[in-house]
Order: sequence, then structure tokens, then C-alpha cells
Amino acid sequence: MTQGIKDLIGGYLDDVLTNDQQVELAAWIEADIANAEQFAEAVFLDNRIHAEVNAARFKDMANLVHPPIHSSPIRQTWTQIAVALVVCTLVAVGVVLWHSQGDQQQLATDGSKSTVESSFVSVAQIVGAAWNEGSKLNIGDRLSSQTIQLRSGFLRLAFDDGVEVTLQGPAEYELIAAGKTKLTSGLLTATVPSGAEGFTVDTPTAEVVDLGTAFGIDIQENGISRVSVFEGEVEVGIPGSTEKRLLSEGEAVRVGGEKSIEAVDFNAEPFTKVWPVSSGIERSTDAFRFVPPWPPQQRFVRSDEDIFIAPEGHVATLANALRVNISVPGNYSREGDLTVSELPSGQKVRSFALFFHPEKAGRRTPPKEVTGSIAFDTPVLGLIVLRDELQASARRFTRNGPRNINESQQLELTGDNDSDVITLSEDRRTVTVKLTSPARFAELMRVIVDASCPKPQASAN
Amino acid sequence: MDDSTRKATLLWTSAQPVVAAFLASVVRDFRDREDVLQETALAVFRSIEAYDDRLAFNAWAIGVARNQVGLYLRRRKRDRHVFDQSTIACLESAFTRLSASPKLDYLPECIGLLEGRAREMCDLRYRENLKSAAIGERLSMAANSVSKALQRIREQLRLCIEAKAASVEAAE
Repeated sequence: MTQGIKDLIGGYLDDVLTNDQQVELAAWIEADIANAEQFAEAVFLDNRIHAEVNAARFKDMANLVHPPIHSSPIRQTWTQIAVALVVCTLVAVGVVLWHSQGDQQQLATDGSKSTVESSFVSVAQIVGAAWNEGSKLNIGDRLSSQTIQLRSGFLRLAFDDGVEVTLQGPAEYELIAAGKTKLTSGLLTATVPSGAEGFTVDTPTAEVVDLGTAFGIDIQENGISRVSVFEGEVEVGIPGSTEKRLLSEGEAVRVGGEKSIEAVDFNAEPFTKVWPVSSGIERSTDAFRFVPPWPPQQRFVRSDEDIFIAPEGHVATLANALRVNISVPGNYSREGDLTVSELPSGQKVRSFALFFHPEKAGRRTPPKEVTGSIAFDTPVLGLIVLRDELQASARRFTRNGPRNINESQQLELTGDNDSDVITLSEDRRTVTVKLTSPARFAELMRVIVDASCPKPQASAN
Repeated sequence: MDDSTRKATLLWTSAQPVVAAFLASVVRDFRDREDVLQETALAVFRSIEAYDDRLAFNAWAIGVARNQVGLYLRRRKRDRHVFDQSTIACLESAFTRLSASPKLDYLPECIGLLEGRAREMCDLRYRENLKSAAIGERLSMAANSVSKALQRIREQLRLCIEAKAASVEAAE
């Protein structure tokens, strides 16, 4: 099913199709019974979601109704439905009132203090930061509505709904409410996972609403906002105007003082320094080289001396337990010594792929050894190094899904002098890899890092 | 309960989700849809004696539902459904072949994993039955953007269901 058809079906379910789109959808349905069946499955799921979301309400209804002995099942059905409608109405009214109160609590009235001070974001990482007077933050700080003034360096924020924003100073960034922020100056990247769509960043000239999943904003010296979409879709609007534009992956626009949205060439260069910080990488040494998340280029990067590390997607919550091959700090050169474990469902994680991709595979004189270390700003929960687990986990963390991995394309953990060696440091922050005579492309491992909310640190940065 | 009513109750309980989904595909107004579903249920119970056991009950019930759609909308002088009769006929065939997958048993658990704005959007759409434009007003988003976000939520739920089902199968 193409994305266009998915959009038509989704639009039909949500009542946003134009007449022409409705005609197009009907023609697609009639073209093939298989299409009609796909449409039917989508509607069935939508209906089932509706039923399940309301299931709790109908459980209460069942407790309220005690059908009389001689009453017909139809009358019982009508009675139950009537009671359910009454309960539904009361619950709906209650929900509307609750939402109204919640909105009043969340929206700031004077730009700096909210009626109820509830924090909604944590400071996840700080790298080389200098602050304006009185603006200093520490890792683990919980923030509510306030303005952040970063004179230089990098700051990564983790919102409670999973959104992550990384700032590159000098930058001024206002936290207005959960899901609503303003970038007055500087540069940021944002990743918005599934479920947090609608996260908004206003600038002096633009309103940017993320529909999932990653974008960047750069406010230039003349005040023009440049919005670039790395993944997913973003809606860009102009304050006080109904003009809105939907941007997709690989598109960019400028929004300037003339209140216009102008398409420009996509340029990822301004974001190259911020990406390692936004990905959760603290530093790398020797052979490790970071692969920026945009443009997608894992297939194209090649080096005889480097081990590439590429972030895979964004923070994810494990729906099911995840099997890892190394879970305990130590040195590993033998498959028999691996410390297999399972990470529990519900754990928030970030995934990184490590791979070796030489300039020319199978060369006669491969490099003798390639070694490097990579340090993360949160603990490594586990390493996946064996083929079966690599293929299974690829299904969860990669856009393209699993692909077949040959035995020759993984680490050689033979335990002898020619064995590859993996080391997980005692503090679980650093992974060191030593490859012995790598000759061909190798999907080395998947690093699973803790992405839970950071805890306050005792020492200042 | 007499045998006829018992038979209708058992068969209708099994077929109701598919019939409800068929109605949802052709009657977009939520209140109209609920009315037609109730009328269909009544029609099924009233005419259960006419049901031929050699036919699949779902197909028969969907046929009853299709008749009720036409009757109801003519009575109310509304033409709110989008598709014409030829498209509805295709959908009738498609829904006749549809059966509820056991994987959907994981849906409540997957809905429970939704957090924050996703859960909020889910409740506005499915519990309060708000249209995208109304949700957009609440959340300061355009209606199309709301639809896009809801698409992603539905896809997230579908992937969650598949993952849980695959995990259980692997464990077995």
C-alpha cells in the first residue's frame, strides 16, 4: 500500500478528505477486491480502537444494569445502550471540564511563571556550555515554564512525552508549556517520537508543528528562520496568518520578515556539530566515526580505518523484552563468555549501529587492526553482537527492517589471538572495539543505551 | 430465552464487530452509525427465522446492515455516506471475508502504552468522538495535521499488536 493510499484511508477515517480525494479512494477500492479488503481491515482496526478506548466506560455500564428476569434481550440491549449513552454524556462533560482546567494550568500568563508550577522537561546532557548570568543549569534539573539562555556549547532537553530538543549556543529558548516552546535565537534540532506529534516550536517569524519525527531550526543573523525536516513531516505556519505549509523529509523553507514561506535547498551542514550531542554520544576516540542521521547515508560511508557509529531512530519504549548478548561489563573475545540477558518491556532505550565498511572489500592486504572507543552520556544496557539477535532487533530499530547477515559479516569471537575483542567499561558508559584484520563489510553490533529520564547529578558541569 | 432468540444472540455477538465496521465504512456520522447498528440488530433478531444456516452468518448480517443503511438514510433524507452503490457492494464483499484476528486481543495493552499527547489525541478522537477540525482547535493544529498524527498513532498501535503477537509466537 503506497503512502498516498494510506493518507487517503487515514483522511477518510478522520473526515478530512476533499470530494476529489473521496472519488479517488472509491476508485481504488473498486479497482481490486484486495484493495477493498485492505480498506476493510483499516476500518475494522479503527472501529476496534474506538471500542477498546470506550471499554472502561461500558464496564461501568454493565455494573449499573440488572436486567429483569422477564425482559426480552432487545429491551435489555436498549436499556443498556440508553444507560451507556447517559454515562457517556456525563463522562464526556467531565472530560471537557478536566481538559479546560488542565489548559488553564499549563498555559503561562506572563511568559515566565505558570499558575501551577509543574515541570515537564529534564536536562539530559550539557557539553561545553557557558551560560548567561543566572541561567546556569545542571544535568538532571527538572524545568517548568522558563527561558533558557545558552551563551555557547550544547544542551539537550528531554521532555516527559519523549520529545528531545538539542540546542547549540548562543541560543535563547523559552519553555512555554508541555508541547509548546519558542526559539528566539540560535539553532536547535528536535526529535518527536510516535505519540508526541503536535510538539510546537515558535520563532520570531514562524510557527513549526511537528507531525513526527525530526527537524531542525536555525535562526539566522537577519532573524530569518530556516526549518529543515530530517524525517517525517512538519507543518510550518506564520504567526497571525492562516498560511501553512506541510514539509516532508529532505525539504527546507525560510520564513522571513515579509511573512512568506519560501522553499530552499536542503542543507544539513549547520546541524553537523549538534547531532552527536542530540544522539547521546559524549565522545569518540581513535577509529570511531559518527554517521549523521541525515541525509541517510549508511550505505555510502566507507573507510578502511574507521568504525562507523550511526544512531537508529529515536528514543523508543520496548513493547516486548529485548534479548542482548552482552549485559555485564568486561572484555569479550569468546562467544562462550557472552552474558546473555533480556531487557524488560517498558524500558526506554536508544539504539546505535556499529559497522565496518571498507573502501574495497576482500582486499589482499587488509589493515592489521582497527580499534576505537565510544562513550555515551547514559549507561549501556546491553550489546547485541550475534547474528540472530542482530536480525531480530533490526526489525525493531531500523526503518528498512531486517536483512540477512552472513556469518562472515559479524564479529569473530573465537577466543584466539585473531579474535575480535569487545569491552564494556565498568561504568557502562564506554564501548571499546578491536577488530583484527577486518576485510569486508561487517555489521558489528547494536548498542542499546538507557534513555530513561536523567537523574540530577551531584557535581556541577 | 427461546431457542430462536438464543441462536440470534450467539450469532449476533460474534458478527457484531464486523457488521459495525462495515457500517463505519459507509456511514461516517457517528450518531447515524449508532442508530443504524441498533436498527440492524433489531432487524437481525426479527428475521432470524429467515436466516439459512447454509450461508455464512456474517455475510447475511452485513446484507441486513446494507439494507438498513439505505432505509435509514432515505427515512432521514440524508446522504451522508460518501460511497456510491458500486463501492458499497465491493465493501460488502470485503467485509464478508473479514474475520477478527486474535492479534487484536493485544490492542487494549497497546493502547495502554500510549502516553502524553498521543493518548490525549486518542481520547479526543475515540472517546469524545471529535472530528479532526475540533481536535485541531483544541490543540492549535490544522485538521490535516491532526489526521496525520492520528495515522501515526494507528500505525503505532498496529505495529505494537504485531510485535506482541510475534513475541508470543516466538516464545511458543
